[in-house]
Amino acid sequence: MRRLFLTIFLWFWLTLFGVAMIFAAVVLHAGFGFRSFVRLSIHDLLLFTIAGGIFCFLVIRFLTKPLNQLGEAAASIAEGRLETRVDPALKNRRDEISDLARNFDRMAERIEALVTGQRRLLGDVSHELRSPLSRLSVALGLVKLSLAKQGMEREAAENLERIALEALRLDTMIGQLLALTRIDSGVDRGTPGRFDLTNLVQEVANDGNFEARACNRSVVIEHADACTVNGYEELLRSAIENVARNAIRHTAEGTAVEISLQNNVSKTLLRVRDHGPGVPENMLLEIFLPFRRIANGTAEGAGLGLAIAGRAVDVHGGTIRAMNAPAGGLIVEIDLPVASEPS
Amino acid sequence: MERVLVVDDDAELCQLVTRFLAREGIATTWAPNGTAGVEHALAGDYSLIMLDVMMPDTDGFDVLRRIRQQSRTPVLMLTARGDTHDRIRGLEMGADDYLPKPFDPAELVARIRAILRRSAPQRPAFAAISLADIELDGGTRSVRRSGAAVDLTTVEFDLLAALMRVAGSTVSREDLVRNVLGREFSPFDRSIDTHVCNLRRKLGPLEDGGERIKGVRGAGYLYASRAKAELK
Repeated sequence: MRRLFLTIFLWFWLTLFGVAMIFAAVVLHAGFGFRSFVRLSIHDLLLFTIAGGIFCFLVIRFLTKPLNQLGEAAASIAEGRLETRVDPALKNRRDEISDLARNFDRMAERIEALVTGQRRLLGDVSHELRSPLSRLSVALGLVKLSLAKQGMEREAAENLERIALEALRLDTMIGQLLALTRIDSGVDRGTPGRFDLTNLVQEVANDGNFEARACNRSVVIEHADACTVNGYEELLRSAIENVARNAIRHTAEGTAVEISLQNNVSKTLLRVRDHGPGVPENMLLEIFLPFRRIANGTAEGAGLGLAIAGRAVDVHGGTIRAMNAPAGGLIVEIDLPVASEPS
Repeated sequence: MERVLVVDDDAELCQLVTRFLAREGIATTWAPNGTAGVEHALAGDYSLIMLDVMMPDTDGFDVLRRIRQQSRTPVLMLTARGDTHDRIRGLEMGADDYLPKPFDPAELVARIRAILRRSAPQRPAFAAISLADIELDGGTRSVRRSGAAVDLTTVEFDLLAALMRVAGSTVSREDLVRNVLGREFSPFDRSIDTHVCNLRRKLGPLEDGGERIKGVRGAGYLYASRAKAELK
């Protein structure tokens, strides 16, 4: 039984009860000559009270039941089931509640159309922008094949490599932009669940180390507590991966990116530290915005990796921040709420 | 000459791909949409199907499902780069491998060759492997669990064989990618992990309820067993 229901019920019922009492007091004790005619007894009053109670219950249920149904429908939409509509029976009533139900459905239809449109647009943009890039890559492959037979000048080969690299950059940027938009719109996140964060961090660190070794850097895990979190595993993986790869890109040659994971009872603290040039103090917040890069001419990424990480952490109710280490290098810290014990 | 079916709505791209593959000695047939793709795939005798899952008017996954219902021809999926969701879904539905689009055609040829090598009728590396409730037949490439047939894709079969041959000891992810998928390990590529997930799902837990394929943190995977696999 809900609070609104109880309040109205008690209020209505007590009013009814009071009216009955006054009526009884007047009739039974003032004696207007009705007494013999009406013959009210305590027994009758009790019956009246119970009948009144049932009456009140039905009237109020008539009012609050549709509210509950609307509430359930709204909750269902909030959880992403956009096709949810209210019970058609609600709309057949001819009162304020049926107006509300009809407007609710109109709203739901609009949200569904907007989100479907957004999803569609994302797919189309991805497809339309990538199709020319795909053709370009294959054409480039064909050119390389022909030139390889004739023997290619070194400069021509370098220029071809350059074209391939720029095509790859364009593609990566499109991919990241889409990933960012996808996180924001809440579509295609996969199913949420409990998962082992320690394992995830370990996997990302291993892959990162593999990538870093190729350019004489490394990734080490300095400390790892056991941590379990709730959320979208792939989304958090991309967050941590982006932070780690950013650190690998900036750490100086011959140094290691250091990762630590602490379980501080209610939240976990993931810390990724590099030994690079760090970030100017006034840019520490901005680096989590799309396309903000530090103007030192060496940045290779599209400037979207940390933005993706930031949004993905937001989705999980966590926080992300960057700071310069006193001894030099950048530290990125991610706080995430720890999963409660499974019930 | 190998014959490859290309299911992709982009006619110009297919022309270029056809030209490139022809130089590598691979013949291609083009299907411009999903319906034609399924028809060709089931009617023709192709050694491999290249399927774009991002066609605007057809759901590529629906095409994949319909092909997989009747045919085990290897499928190479073309996905958008960075779209892990599509990639995992495709591999779960029985695609053999994936290639992010746009791709380097040389890489495409390498993947096609790797898949063809795997699925070619070759002299089996082993006649049979049996361990507890699982039996692998290297000749027919079939798997039975407690006597009942389990339907595995070619990759899943090779992966299971690779793990069972050294049951009880860990195989690194790098080795699995190299020997099972037939390509160099590249970091942040989780396809081998998705294939392991599929195997776990299809085979279920051990008879005593324990985990069949264990992930060894930072090292790789191992097929849990106290006994040694019986190799014939």
